[in-house]
Amino acid sequence: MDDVQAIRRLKNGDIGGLESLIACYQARAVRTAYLVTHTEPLAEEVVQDAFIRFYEHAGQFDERRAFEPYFLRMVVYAALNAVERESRSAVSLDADADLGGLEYLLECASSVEEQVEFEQLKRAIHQAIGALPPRQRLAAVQRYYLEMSESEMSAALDVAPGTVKWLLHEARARLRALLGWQRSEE
Amino acid sequence: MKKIPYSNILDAVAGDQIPADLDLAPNIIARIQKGKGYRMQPRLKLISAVLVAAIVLAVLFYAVPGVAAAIGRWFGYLPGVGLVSEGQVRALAEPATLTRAGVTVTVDQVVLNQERTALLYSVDGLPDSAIADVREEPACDYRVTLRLPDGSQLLATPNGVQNWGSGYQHRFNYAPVPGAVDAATLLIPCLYQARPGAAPENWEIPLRFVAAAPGATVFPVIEIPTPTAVVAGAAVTDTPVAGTPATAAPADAEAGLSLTLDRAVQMEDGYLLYATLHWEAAPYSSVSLNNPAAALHLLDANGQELVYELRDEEGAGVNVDQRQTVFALKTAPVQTPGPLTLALDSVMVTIPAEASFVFDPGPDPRQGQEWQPGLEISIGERRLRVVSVVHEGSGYSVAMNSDTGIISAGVVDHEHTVVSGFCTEGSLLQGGRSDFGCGWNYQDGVPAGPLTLSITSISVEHAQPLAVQWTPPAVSATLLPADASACLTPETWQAALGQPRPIPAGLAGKVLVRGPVDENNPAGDWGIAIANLDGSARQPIAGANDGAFSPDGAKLAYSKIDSGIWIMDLSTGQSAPLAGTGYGDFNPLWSPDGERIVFNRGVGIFDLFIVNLDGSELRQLTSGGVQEYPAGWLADGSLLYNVAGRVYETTVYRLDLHSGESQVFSNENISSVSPDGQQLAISELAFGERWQVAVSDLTGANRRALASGSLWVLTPRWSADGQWLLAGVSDTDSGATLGALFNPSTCEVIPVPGLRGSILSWAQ
Repeated sequence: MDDVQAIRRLKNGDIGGLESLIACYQARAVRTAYLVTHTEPLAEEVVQDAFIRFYEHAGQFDERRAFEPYFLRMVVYAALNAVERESRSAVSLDADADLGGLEYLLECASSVEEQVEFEQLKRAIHQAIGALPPRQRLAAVQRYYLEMSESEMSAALDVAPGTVKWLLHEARARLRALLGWQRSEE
Repeated sequence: MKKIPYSNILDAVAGDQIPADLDLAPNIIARIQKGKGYRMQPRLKLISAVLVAAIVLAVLFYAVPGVAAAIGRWFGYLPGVGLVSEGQVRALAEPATLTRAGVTVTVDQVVLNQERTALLYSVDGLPDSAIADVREEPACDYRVTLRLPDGSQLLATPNGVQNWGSGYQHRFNYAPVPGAVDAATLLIPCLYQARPGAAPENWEIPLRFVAAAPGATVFPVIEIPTPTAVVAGAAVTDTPVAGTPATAAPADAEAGLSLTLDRAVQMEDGYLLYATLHWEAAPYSSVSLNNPAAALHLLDANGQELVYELRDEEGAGVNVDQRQTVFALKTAPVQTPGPLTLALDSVMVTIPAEASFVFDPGPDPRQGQEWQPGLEISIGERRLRVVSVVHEGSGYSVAMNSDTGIISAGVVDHEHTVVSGFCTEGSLLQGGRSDFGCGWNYQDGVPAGPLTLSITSISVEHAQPLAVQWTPPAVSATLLPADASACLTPETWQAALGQPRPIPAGLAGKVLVRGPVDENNPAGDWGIAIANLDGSARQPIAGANDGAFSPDGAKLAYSKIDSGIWIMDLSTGQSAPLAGTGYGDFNPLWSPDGERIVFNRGVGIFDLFIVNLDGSELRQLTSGGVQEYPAGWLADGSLLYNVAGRVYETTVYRLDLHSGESQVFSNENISSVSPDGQQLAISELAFGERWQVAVSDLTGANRRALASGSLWVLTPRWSADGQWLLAGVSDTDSGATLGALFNPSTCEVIPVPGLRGSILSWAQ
């Protein structure tokens, strides 16, 4: 159950630490990847690669951070890269576009009382996610599955949390300057 | 009716498509054992950060956070809250704790001011059986709200999570509580990730607030007069990256960049410094830190680099209107009296550009259609290429690259209404070339006919030394770190490497090392090998995962993932499986008499087992429901083992093998015990994410730090006489790990450059 010792073992080169992490997180990681890739073999491949990558770079992981959100963020981006590589599809432009239908279905499913209806809605949600371009699937997974808040973004990056937030702040400000857009601060 | 969280619905949707008996471990382990091993690759850190930041940027473009208003005079700095104004701070009167059915919820901290209410609470004692397996069932709906006396409820904004074996600690922010309200109730209908009904629910914990007591942790804030000693920075010349002609937009020379130190928070273990980068209006539209890990330096009075961490403090960030960028960094303890110097080698500047190109998608652009214009566009002395344009959604995305120092460019369509967009930044670390792009959506779908796309600005790295100095108050005893007298610093390590010394007489034996399989290729595959102390006569052990020599040095116990613990007779090189062990057993440790092996068994939860060398008398030593690792033996035959508690916390227990009773021994991460059972080697994760080693006696007294600075010292192992330690020293800059002998008594450090990798065991 405890990730810290597993990661410490990994930092000392002990592959047993990785086994522990795989056992704990493979299922949720594959589900996360699947929601983006929409194909199960590719999702498994993504997660395998992600565990191996973590194994190789475990020495850089700040064990004060929770492993699960860090790893799932890594998986979700890796899944996006994989599905874009496979489909050669382009980057979507607006993370919010076309999520409305999915949101509606999720809202319906969240208050459903009949199991049969819930199963139907699950199938519809599955189809709705599949119909989204990969980037929008990423946005949906981030928002509704991983429930990412901005403060958690740091966990997705391999740097100290403050540095990550810093990078985001800077990047956004620079972007506004870059585009010459005068959006009000929100 | 309680609503099902969206995350649970999606979990169920995905779970329907994933086999229930999923087991990726065999494939992953096989791929690792065939391919690459563990090694450090420090440079990847930055690259991945930049790349992922670019992706995040694309997704979160509209989640622009507010930039704090100008900072006034501060009362002090509260950990977890930040700078607070005088007279505005209240806090929890006393920690509030409630225990029900073995589960304890503690509100550790609440700090209230006019801006927000920050709350930290923890849960412990949550049994595994109470945690929902989300494949089978949804976890309960997790909400943590604050109910005020008038019945209104404040909703939480998550601000940090830490999980450990039996609990978690969560941090939330709430809206400000009115000053007249001195009480509230924390409501937790259901604990985080708990199975409905499996753990106590509907927690209500009354809280009482008082004015922050004088004894509360409030660090003093030192306002630094402005301007401080600006060492450089008046004149600016735009210096492009190597390989490009020098260029200077006419206005560059007139643009002033300056750096100021504004305030310092004096903490027990260093300073939190607030600094500001200022720029004049032209020619830059924005200036900010660029690759701070490489470009931002903090030097003490002796010119030595001081470790720091950039912190996300309120008020930090780019403020284009005020033409300034505020950043905060926490320093390591300041040991040397005299001025600190904050120095920047380069910054990132955004420069307005005036360039455009025409893109004609033709009469009927299709979703996903890609065009490859191959245009090369000059912007001053620099160039960028428009590699591709793709139609997706209701707009286009443009992929660009440059080999003249441009790392991002803003592309917009001024002639049509655009409703959303993003840009990504490249990295100059990839051979001087960078890839970047922009994309946008039109309000009314993609317009017909050729489009004129404008490049409004570019971002480049700008080499410009800037520095500022500030002299902290006299260094007090409390600021001196424990490792001020460390035996090893980056400087002494370099000096020792430059003056090779022989291994002291009397030190020899075999070493079990985890390092590169090919000594000439440190970046290649890693594995386990036996070698002489000087690294010679290296013999790889195929498939080994870990291992330890027997006390008499005649045998080696090691584990293989697929078949458990093996015993090798070193005189013959023959190995045989240890009866009673099997798949997944690992981490063997010999008993002092060499007759028994302690090892770990389990997945997720690692208990300790012991077995005789002939496989008899296998028995389980611990069953704590957590991960327990053997650390070493004391002289009385009791076993020390580490148990991870909360994040960053370790508890070491002392197990009496006869009675089976365990007692808390220490709270430090004990890496190994000397052969006489009288001294401890302690591994600790120091500020700046560095592993360090200290030694002490069994009571923790006579502690001596073996290393300080940026070097990592890994897995120390004792010599037979307890006079020396053999450890791997990892240079975080180069990634190389070399063996080194430490004498804790004399502080001698003798590099063993032939030993590459971390040390698992040492037999003499």
